[in-house]
Amino acid sequence: MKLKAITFSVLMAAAMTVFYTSCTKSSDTTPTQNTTNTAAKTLYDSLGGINAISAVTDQFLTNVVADNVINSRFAATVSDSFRLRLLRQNLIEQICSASGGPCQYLGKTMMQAHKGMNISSKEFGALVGDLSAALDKFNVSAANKNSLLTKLGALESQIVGQ
Amino acid sequence: MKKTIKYLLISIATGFVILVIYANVRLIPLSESVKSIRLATFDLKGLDDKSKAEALQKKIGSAPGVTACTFNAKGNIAAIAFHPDETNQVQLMNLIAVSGACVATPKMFLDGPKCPVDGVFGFWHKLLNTLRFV
Repeated sequence: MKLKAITFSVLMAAAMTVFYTSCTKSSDTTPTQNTTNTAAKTLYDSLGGINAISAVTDQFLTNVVADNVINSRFAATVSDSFRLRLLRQNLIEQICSASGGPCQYLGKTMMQAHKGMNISSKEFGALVGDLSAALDKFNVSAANKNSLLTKLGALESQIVGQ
Repeated sequence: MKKTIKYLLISIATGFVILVIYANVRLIPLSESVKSIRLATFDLKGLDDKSKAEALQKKIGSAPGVTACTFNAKGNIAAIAFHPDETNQVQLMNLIAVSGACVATPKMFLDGPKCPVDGVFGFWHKLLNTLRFV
């Protein structure tokens, strides 16, 4: 009798886990009908989709690591292959999401992630410069570049001085 | 005592089963579909000017397995993103040496303030990926 109760509890817990994750999945795939998003989706397509965003992200990462103003901030992460992988995935998801692509950024909020780091405006400016250079390398149009940098630039207040 | 151990073991087993199920049914981000990379960072000696840096960047950037690279002549530093199943840090270092433009040695960063991706968060994701078989 007890064994049956325990087995039932385990199966219920497993079923609830599947139900919860399935519900989360379906809400993420619901297409949006907002007209603003129609223009934003075009930016994702204009950039070239997930593979192009991945290439831009890789270039951005090498620009950052070769930038002596800010590379020491990333030393611990780039030397650990899994932390590097997570950082890269988070960056791809942020850029994909900001350009209206089918991505959802699942990392920490910028405020949580940079709390206690006391990032300066100079450092943030250097990072934006590295991203801008990466976009220039892939000949992203000025309009698309400015649109993306504006959206990501809005994160400055959550990053600088935390 | 025996009952306590029994229930503890059952709880641990249940928790593990739930973790395995969660790892296999959770929403997989689109970003996980792209091939993973490693980063190699080098100190450079002898890279005098921007034009040499650009030429070297173009050459290394088109090497097999390299997805991106940046050669900073002013800062005497280079960073190369590559697919680890196609090339490695030693091969890249040799490639730079063969070009004759400069000498590259692996860069050791000084300890300092850490990047947002903390070790605990990284460990959790590593665990979920290890438990995934779907």
